[in-house]
Amino acid sequence: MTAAAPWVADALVVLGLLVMTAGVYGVVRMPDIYTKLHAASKSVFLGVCSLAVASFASGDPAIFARTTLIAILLILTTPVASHAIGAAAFRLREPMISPDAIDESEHLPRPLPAAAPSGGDGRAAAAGARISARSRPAVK
Amino acid sequence: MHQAVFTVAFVWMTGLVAFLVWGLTRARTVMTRILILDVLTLMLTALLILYADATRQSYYLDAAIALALLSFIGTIAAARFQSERRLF
Repeated sequence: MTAAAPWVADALVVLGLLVMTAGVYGVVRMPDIYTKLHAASKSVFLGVCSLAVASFASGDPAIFARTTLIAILLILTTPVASHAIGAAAFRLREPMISPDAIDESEHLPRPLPAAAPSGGDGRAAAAGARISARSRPAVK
Repeated sequence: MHQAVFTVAFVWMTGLVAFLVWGLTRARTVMTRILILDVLTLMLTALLILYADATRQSYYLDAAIALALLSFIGTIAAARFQSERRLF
């Protein structure tokens, strides 16, 4: 166990590195924010958790108590933060520009407050309004 | 963890952070920038974990905990304020 621990840590670090690389590449390259959120909230988070598990091999309680705390905090906070970002993007009518995007929500987003900022440049907001008007089914 | 793996991983993750910053400059909407900043702080947390693990010093992890919590609060505050124009 003790002899194999550094090698297990190496494997976990390399695994976390690969997962994080895929996640970061997805965050930069995905076409719209809803697909970017997949890469951000799953891949990068799981990569960090893999690194946290790798630190168990160091055998220092001061280190692995803290990394366990970080992993638990991330497990609790990452879904909430991702949901906040997704809900805000939907409310701001950010367009779904990935191919075959389907909006299955049954309602339009609530109207924006009066002094609402546009969700970026005006062109993107206009495209979002057009796409949402076309792709959402009429509410009975 | 062996020294070679640590060096390669550290350099590689620094490259990932630089790639994210480049993506941040290319982001078109405000929500995308908020998302990329969130991922950036997550990557910095990972770098701190890696460094603390390699040097066997736990001080860096206190900073990592603070960074993880602050990025959570900051992301939620920024997203809510951007869409609702108020926080509560």
